[in-house]
Amino acid sequence: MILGFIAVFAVLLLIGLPIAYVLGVSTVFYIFQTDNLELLLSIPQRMTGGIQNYGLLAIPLFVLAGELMNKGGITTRLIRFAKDMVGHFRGGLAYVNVVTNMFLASIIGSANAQTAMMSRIMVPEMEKEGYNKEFSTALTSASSLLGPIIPPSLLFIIYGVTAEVSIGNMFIGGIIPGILLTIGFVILISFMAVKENFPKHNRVKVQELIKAFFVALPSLSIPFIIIFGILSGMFTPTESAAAASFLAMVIGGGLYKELKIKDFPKIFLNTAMYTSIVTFIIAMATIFGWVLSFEQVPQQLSEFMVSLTDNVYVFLFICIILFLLVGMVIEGMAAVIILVPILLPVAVNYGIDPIQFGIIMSINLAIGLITPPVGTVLFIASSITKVKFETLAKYVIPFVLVALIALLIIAYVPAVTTWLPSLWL
Amino acid sequence: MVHHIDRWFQRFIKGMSKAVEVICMISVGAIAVVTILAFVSRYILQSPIIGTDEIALYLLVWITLLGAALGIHKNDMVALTLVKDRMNGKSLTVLNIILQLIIFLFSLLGLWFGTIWLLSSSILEAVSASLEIPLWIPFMIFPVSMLIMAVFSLNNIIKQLKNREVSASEAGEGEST
Amino acid sequence: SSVDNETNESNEEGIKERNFVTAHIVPEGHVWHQSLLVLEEEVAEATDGKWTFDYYPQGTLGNQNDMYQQLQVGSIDLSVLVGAELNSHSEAFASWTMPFIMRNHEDAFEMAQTEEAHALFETLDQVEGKGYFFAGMRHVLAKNGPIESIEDLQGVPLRISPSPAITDFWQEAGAGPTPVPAADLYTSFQTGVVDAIDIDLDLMMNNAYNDIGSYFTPLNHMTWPGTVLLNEQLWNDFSEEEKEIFNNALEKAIAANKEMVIQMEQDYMQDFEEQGGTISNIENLDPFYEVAEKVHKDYGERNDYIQDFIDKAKEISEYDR
Ligand code: NA
Ligand code: NA
Repeated sequence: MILGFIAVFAVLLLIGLPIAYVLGVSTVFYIFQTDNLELLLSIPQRMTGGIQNYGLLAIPLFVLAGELMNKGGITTRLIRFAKDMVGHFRGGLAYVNVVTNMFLASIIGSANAQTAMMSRIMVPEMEKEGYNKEFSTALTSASSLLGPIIPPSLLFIIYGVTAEVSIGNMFIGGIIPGILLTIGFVILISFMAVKENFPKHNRVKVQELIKAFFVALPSLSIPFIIIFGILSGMFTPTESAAAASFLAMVIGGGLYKELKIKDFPKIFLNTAMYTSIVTFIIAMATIFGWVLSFEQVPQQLSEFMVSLTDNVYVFLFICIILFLLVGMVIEGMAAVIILVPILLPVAVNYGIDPIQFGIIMSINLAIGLITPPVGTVLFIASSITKVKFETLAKYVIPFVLVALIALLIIAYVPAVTTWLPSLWL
Repeated sequence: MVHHIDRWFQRFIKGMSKAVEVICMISVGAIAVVTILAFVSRYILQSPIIGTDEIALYLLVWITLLGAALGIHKNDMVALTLVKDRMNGKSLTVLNIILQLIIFLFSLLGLWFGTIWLLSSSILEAVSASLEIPLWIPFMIFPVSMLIMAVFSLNNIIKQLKNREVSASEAGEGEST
Repeated sequence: SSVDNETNESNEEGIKERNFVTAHIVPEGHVWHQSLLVLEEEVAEATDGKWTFDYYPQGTLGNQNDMYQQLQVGSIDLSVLVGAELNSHSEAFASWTMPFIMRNHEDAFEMAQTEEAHALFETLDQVEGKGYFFAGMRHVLAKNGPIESIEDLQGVPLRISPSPAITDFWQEAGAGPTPVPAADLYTSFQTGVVDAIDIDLDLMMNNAYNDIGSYFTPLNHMTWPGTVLLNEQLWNDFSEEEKEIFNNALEKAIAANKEMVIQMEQDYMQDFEEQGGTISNIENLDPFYEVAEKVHKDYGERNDYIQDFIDKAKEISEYDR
């Protein structure tokens, strides 16, 4: 029965049925296989129940914040500042790309959204200065990994909701891994810059750097307000997302005066569409996970995992491989919802901190987004910059390797993820 | 005659997608306003408004289902296009029709069981926890959006049959109407 | 699923082989689950092992409303659901959220046996209510200072379970009732999104909320029942013999539950003090009673079940005002 189920799932996935429906249709197929046909009657209840979670409210609000920032000219000012700051090094624009992605990541929660945004802006700019397009696209795709790692992060929100751990703690825990990954990419670029003789800019005057800083300052303040708002008890994570939207609106509309009332319908519509892509998958993943629970698949799988090894390091290694494989084919959000109930209890049994496990899982699944042969972020980037997928796949490999090294550090040095949250608690 | 019906149907589809878009926009705006209100009342005025989260969560359900319906309409859903990218011509059309047919059938199933669910006592006779809103009001969106999804996927099938191009790009570059 | 032995057609006698899909929201260490284990053991003994339980704890099959719906359609056979939260399906269950009608667990368990308490189950569609487990009386835990009078609660953001009567009570009492999702409660309490929580000792000690708030006021303003519910069709399928077996076993499980809950409250109070907590009492409860009276009147007028329930509970607890 389970084999038939896996076969149906795989076939639907391969023929290109939207992931949400792959989950939904396999669920229905599975129900027909069991004698519990009354489960069909609960599908609407579970689908709507799965979305009605307070933590998930942060998703439309952070997406909205991202849309408002983009329209309000906040993104361009962040790029300008990053350029003035690090543009004069050899390979300057490559660093600018990473640094801007880091700034953006502190406001945007998803790698896909970030790639779509940055591929349009950064890649042409780098090309103009003589970087090759393939490298620029690969770098942009890889840097977008920071989106779900540096808080806020939709993946962290969904993990927090599913694992019933504090979303605030997840956010705090993601800060050091995000910085670690940024450093990793910077080191990689510095090697490549010398080897490939990347172009550089003239150094800007200090006054200009200061000016760019002050122009970008209101935008840079958004992430700090989010983090300190959560830390001080001013906001719940969900409210912090509303605050980010509000600030983006005030800064883009009132201060930079680029955001207009007439932009709002389009912004709201984009927000709804992007939100639903995520939450509809969550709704379908909920019924998928629920039917598996009914058949007690999670228990059997975790018993199997435990029987494989009693060594925590081996267990983590198995998880890393598993997440990487899963991340290659299944959307991260859906994967979190399906995998957490199965693996988290096992991980806790091994003495792994749920926050650390969540961050490992999220980063791991995110790396899947840029890992060939299949990777949503790579698809998005290649469709925007028109670099052939196969070529892009080749260029992105060094970045994937660096990301994997960072992941191993995060997995085997718990302090990287647990130290900051423990300071706060 | 057939042409006539087709024109009427296309106008209907256009009107429906416009209506769904407007509801989605309003819901997003409302979620933002409600959440900011919740914060202001709780943190600044120190007298939390009860039920703000409940309303926001119902709006999220609406956005999810109606947004997904638009996603079907605009062929803008996350999918694995590895195989599809290597197909073209007639076989691609056939595959697209099969995919839309699967979505159509799932929507019908959702419509059927969603209606049964809506009319069952667990919804029809229940009210929300904080505001005591009758639950059928927020949840009627489930069968309604399943119906909309069915219509949109049917429209996609018709489009395919008429051999129009339907871009199914992975990047979410859906053709907008 | 629930009815495995199709050959035994008779409903009047005999014991069928049955496996109960049993779901609830609490972890396996919780008293409700422990009480279910007693039920399982008792029925297993009485049926020579023909009845077995499969557990789906901690909301594996969904939240309260999701489980309720599944119980109605029969994919879940047996469930312990939060009594107070059933009021979204039947107003009558707001009865259990009435403040200050029971003094302690003795009162609560006695009340749970009454016709008035069992009458509430009549108002539920497609499910058969068989009885009540308890998790503990409700109290107040605060972080900024002891709560020794109603004045100490004025304007204090207080975490509640979202329910109209609970909200009304705390609003009327002058606190700022704030619903916070359980997963965020620890951090919300810590960072001051809420400064006090309305809670039972079990939840408080198991989630270490006493690490944050060290001022505990045993208010006993409310009790927190779990309703033991069966799918109605399943219950109607039971033979008389089976019904008796279930009822007897449940009686024993409830007795065990009572013992556990009362013992647990004592132990947790002790633990709380040993871990450095301060217990303070409210000398003058009259202002609370006044507020409670208002709520009783309000909800009693709305619904006869609630009025009967309040009257009976006050009779049992001999609440003299
Ligand atoms: Na982010
Ligand atoms: Na991948």
